[in-house]
Amino acid sequence: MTEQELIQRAKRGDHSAFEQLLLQNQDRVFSLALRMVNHREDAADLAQEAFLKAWQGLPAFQGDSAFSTWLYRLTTNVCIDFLRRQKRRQDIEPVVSLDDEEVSWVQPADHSQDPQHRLEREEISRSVARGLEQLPEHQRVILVMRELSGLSYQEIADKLNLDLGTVKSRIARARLALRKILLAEGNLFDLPPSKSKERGT
Amino acid sequence: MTCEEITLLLSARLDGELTEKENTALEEHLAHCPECRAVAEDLEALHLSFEDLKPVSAPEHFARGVMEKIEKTTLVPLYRRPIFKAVVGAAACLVLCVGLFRGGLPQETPMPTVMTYGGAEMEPTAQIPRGMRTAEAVCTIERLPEGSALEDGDWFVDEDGFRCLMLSTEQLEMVENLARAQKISFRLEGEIASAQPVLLRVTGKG
Repeated sequence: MTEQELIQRAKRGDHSAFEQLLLQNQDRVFSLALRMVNHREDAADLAQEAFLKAWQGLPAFQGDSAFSTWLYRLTTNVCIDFLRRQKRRQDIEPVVSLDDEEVSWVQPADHSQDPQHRLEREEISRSVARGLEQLPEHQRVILVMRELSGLSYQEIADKLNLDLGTVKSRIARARLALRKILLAEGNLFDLPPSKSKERGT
Repeated sequence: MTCEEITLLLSARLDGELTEKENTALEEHLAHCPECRAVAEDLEALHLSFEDLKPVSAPEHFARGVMEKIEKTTLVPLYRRPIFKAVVGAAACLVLCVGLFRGGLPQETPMPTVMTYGGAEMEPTAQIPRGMRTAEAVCTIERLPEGSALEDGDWFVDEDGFRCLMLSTEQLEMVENLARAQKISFRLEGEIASAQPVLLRVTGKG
C-alpha cells in the first residue's frame, strides 16, 4: 500500500493504516525530537505527542507538503513548546552579538581531501551527531530546525520570535561552533591522507 | 568585509538565503581569500552531512505505546473515566455550596459557562451529552458549514441520534470561523485544550 493510500485510510480513522505510517516515520521523528531536546525520555514523550497530534490533525492534512515534512513540522512545534514550557527560553534566545565569545574565529584546517566523498560524508555525519549534542541549546535547536526540520529562516524567526538577522547570524555561529568541535576532536577535516585514502578506495 | 562577517554569508548561501548583493560581495572576497574558501568547504561538508545523519532508533515498543494511547482516547468514554467522575463529583459539591451560600443573597442572572453563537432556539446542554466520548469539550452546531471538508471524517452517531465527529482544535477553529461567516448557530461547552480532541455534534441535516 502506498503512503497516499495509508494517509487516506488513516484519515478515515483506520488505526492499522496510521500504525504503518507511524512505523515508517518513528525513528526519524524520534531522532528529530532527540536532537532538539537532547534527552531520550523527553524525546520519546515528545515524539509520542507529535504522533498523537498527527492522528488528531490528519483529517485536516491537505497534502500540500509531503506527509513526513508535515510530521517534522508538528514535531518541531511540539519540541519548541516543550522547551518554552521548561523555561529554557533564556538559553534558546540569548542576546547574540557579533562578538559571541563561544564561537571564535577558527583557522581553517589543511584540506587535502575531497569533502564530497560519500564515505567521508558519512563519517562526518557521525561526528556531527556527536557534535550536535555538545552545542549549547540555543545553537543546537536552531541548527536542527534549519537542517533537519527544513524550516526557512522566516519560519524559524516566527517560531522563535526572533528577527531574521538574528536567525541568520545564529545559524552561522552554530555551524562555526560545530566545526570548531569537530576540529578540536581532530575529526574529519584534517584526516591523515593514508587513512582517508584507505576509506576512499 | 572581514573574514568573520563573510562566514555569516557563507552560512546563508548554504540555505539559499543570500541576496544578490551579498552573493557578489562573498564571491569577491572568496576570490582573494584562501582561508575563507577553506571555511566554505568545511561548512558545505557539514551542511551535506546532515543528509546522511542516521536516525536514532525509537525506543522499544514506542509505536505500540502510541497506538495504545490512540485506541484509549478513541474508545474509553470520558464520562466513565475515574478522574472525570471525581471532577464531576467535586463540581457538584461546589455548585451545591455556592447555591446554599447564594441562597441568602439578592438574585442575579447566572452567567453562562458556555459560548454560543446565534441560535436562540438551541437549548443549553444541562448535562454532559451522552455522545461525548473522549472529548473535553463539545461543539453543538445546527449544520456542518460549507467548505469545512470534514465529510470524509470518521463520523458516528451518538445516543441522541446526532452525527458526531472528533475534531482537533485547529479543525474546531476552522468550523467556528466558517459557522460565523455562514451565520450558522453553534454552542461550545467545556475546556478547549490544544492537545485534546473536541466533539462536534451536528443537530440538523447537512
